[in-house]
Order: sequence, then structure tokens, then C-alpha cells
Amino acid sequence: MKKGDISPVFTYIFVAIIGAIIIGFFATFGFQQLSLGNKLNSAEIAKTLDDNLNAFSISKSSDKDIEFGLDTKLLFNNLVCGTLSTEEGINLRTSKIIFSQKSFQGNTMKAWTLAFKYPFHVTNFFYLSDDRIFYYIVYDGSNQQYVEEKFFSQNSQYKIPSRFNVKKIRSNDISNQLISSLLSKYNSVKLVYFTTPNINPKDRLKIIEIDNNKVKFHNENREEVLLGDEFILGAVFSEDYNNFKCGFDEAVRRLKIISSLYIEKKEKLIAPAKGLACDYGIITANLDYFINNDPTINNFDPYKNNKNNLIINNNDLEGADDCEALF
Amino acid sequence: MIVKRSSKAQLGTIEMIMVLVIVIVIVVIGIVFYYNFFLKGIESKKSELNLQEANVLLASLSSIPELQCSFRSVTRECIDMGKAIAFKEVLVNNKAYYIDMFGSKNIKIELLYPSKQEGECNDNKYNSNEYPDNCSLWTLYNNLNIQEKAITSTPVSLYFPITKEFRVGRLIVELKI
Repeated sequence: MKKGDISPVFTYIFVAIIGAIIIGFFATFGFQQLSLGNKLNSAEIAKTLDDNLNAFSISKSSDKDIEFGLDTKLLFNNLVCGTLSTEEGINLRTSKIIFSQKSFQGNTMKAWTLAFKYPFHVTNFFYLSDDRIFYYIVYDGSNQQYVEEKFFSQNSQYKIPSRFNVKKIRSNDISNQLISSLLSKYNSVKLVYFTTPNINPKDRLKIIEIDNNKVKFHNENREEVLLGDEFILGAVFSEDYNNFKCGFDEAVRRLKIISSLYIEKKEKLIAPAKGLACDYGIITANLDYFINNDPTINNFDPYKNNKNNLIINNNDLEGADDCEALF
Repeated sequence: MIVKRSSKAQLGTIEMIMVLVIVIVIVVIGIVFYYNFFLKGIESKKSELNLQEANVLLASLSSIPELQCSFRSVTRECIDMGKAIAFKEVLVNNKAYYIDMFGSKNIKIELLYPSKQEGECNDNKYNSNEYPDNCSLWTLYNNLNIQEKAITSTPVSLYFPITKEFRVGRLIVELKI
């Protein structure tokens, strides 16, 4: 070889290194684009779901299947209450009150919305589920009629839509074999007892007990007050105590905000220039009670009585001359 | 001219490097163009989602408890203007909550018929005996201070509790394009 001639070997090495760098660059570029595309898709899905639920909330009672068109994984109230998250790390704040499992995966989500009134319309609750979980409403002889009329009768506004995997069962028919058989078909099973539970909770077996306006989550050994049938359904569809408490606290917060709204409306109505000679003193006290008190198991009766008094006092305003009811 | 073999080799190396440099420049220009189109696509998708959100908000606003008419707890399809005016006060005390709910938008109600005077409705206009004939625009939520914005609106029925009358209005949502 003459001086100055480059050995072909070095040329091949040089080409190989450059080629590897270029291929590596394009491969990294391609994977980053894929990851970015996935993130954009999941952000769009989360946003569209939020808008879907918004549109859904126009109805005071409605249920439907929400189709995503592709296998989707979503997290509800995962680490922070009031968030809708995706696997790619997109977090969306939502003011909607959602009772559901923490994690959803699939093409189709079952959704049901119900208005929460106490006694005025406060907000809509959203109950979400999928095909991976099965629910049993468990009754005994003393409350069979209540359970059937409340959750399975066509005439009831709280009838659980048939699209959800919810069935009723007598407590005597619950057995370990039945539970094992269900757990082999579903990711988790939830038993909603309107009587004393006769089986112990496990990791994939969630048990709640509804008794006298309170709910006990046996898996976490925590209790909470139930302000109405909407909350019973919330306890049914929530994965655990934390998920239920998230929706419960948000509902109470909304109740306080709407109560303060009606007090402000009253202030506007009784403005001197408006000429309304109406005594809103008692109804203001009822609304103030909601603003200044949180519902607990111990004060459930006065809380409920306050709601009933609100209805009476508001109706009385409707009938009086020169008076305008607040709601 | 006689080119030495050693220069030939150097020329060969330089040629290879120049080719590589030109290829890299072309690839970089290609990537820059691609990313420009990609970013424009993202901006366009963002605008589309914003508009979708605004349209859904517009459809659902007249049903939210803060605005919807109710008579003895039975809701009706109209906006209670007593609540709408009170809502502005409640918004001040719960600003973070409503910013989460509505985002960067303006929400207004405009009185269309019967309407006698135009102008923003405020406390002074409200306390006047001529109200609601002395103004026609209520700004419920104001969280967007830009010149270029998209406006979407829908007709609504407005209920005035003092005079117990219904009028025709327009619910307006302004958003960033």
C-alpha cells in the first residue's frame, strides 16, 4: 500500500460507525414520536371523556355506554381527588363527582348520571363501571321488598340500569363457592349488604354494609353517613372508602356553594329598590346550617330535618303575597 | 497536473465528509419542516378540543344548578336571572373552584327581547326601577383578556323573579382560539 492510501478497513469502520449513529438517531426519533403520539391520544381521550360527561349531565337521569374505539386505560381520583388520569401521565382536573373503580380498562365504559337534590338540585353524580367487576345486592327477608322496589323496579328513579353487572341475591345464597366462581370470571366482586355480612372481605372481594343511613366499608373498616339514595349508589359503585369519600366531600362542598348562592339570591331579592316585603329569616337559617355544618353520622337527624324544613319554608314563601320562593 | 496519491486519499476523505455533512443538513432541514407541520397539527387539535369544550359547556350551562330555573325544586328549561346575578358574588368567594370548572373563558348573558337599552348590567342598574329594561348584558364569568377570541352562543329563556316574567336572551361563551 502506498503512503497516503487509506486502508479500506478504516473506511468500512468509519461507515459502520456513521451508519449506526444515523440509524440510532432515526430509531430514537421514531420511538419518541410514537410516545408523543400516544400521549396526545390519551390527552384527547381524557378531554373527550370529560366533555362527554359534561354533555351527559344535562339530563337529570340517564345512562349509556361510552365507546372509546380502542383499548383505553384511565384512572379516576387516583392519587388526588377530582382528577382523571391516563397511563401516559396526563392528569386532568375535573369538578365532576364520579363514583367508580380507581382504574378502568377497555373499549367501553358504562355510565349513569343522577341528579343529587338536597332539596334543591346540587349537582349530578356519575356512576361508572366496566365489565371487569360484578356486583351483588344482598338482602334478607326483612328488606327484600325494599331492595327490589328501590333498585330493580321500573317505577323507581334509582333502578340500576341493566347495562351494569348488578344482580340481587338472598344472603343465604352467598357461599364461598359462588364467590370463587365469580372471582374466576371477573377482576373483582362487590357485595352490597342490606343485612349483616356473612362472609369476610378479601383483596378482590369488596364488602359494604348499608345500615340506617350509614355505610360501612368492611375492607377498610371505615364508616360514613349516607345523605340519600344517590349516596347509596355511590357506595355501591365506588371501589373503596377513599373513592367514596372523595365524591362525598365534593358533594358536600357543592351543597355549601349552592346554599350560599341561594342566600345571595335572597339578598338581591330583598334589596330595598325591589320592593319585596318578604321574610326570608327562617329559610336563611336553614341555608346557613348547611354552610356551617358538615354531615356526620352523629348529626344526621338534624341535618335531614333541616332539609325537610327547607322544603316547607320555601313552599310557604311561594304561597305568600309579594314573596318569591328561592328554589 | 499530477495529483499525488496521498492527496487523492485526502480528497477521498474530504469528499466522504462533505457528503455526510450535506446529508445531515438535508435531514435536519427535513426534521425542522416535519416538526413545524407537527406543531401546527397539535395547535389545530388544541383549537378543535377547545371549541368542543366550549360547545359542550354552552349546551350544559343552562342546566347547571347555579343558573337553571327551579320552582318548588322542579327544574325548568330557563335561566333564573336572580341566580345569575347572585352567581357573580358566589364566584368571588369560590374563584379557584370555578376556574377549574370553566377554565380560560368568558361567560355572558345578553338580553335580546324585549330589550330597550343596551349596556352592562351592574348593581346600580339592578337597583334602579327600570331594571331589566335599562341594560342588556350580564358578565357572569370573566377569565379571558385577549383580543382574538372565538365566540359561540345559543338562545335561552331568561326568567326574572322580581317581575315574574320570561324574556328571550342569548348565552355567550368566549374562548381562546
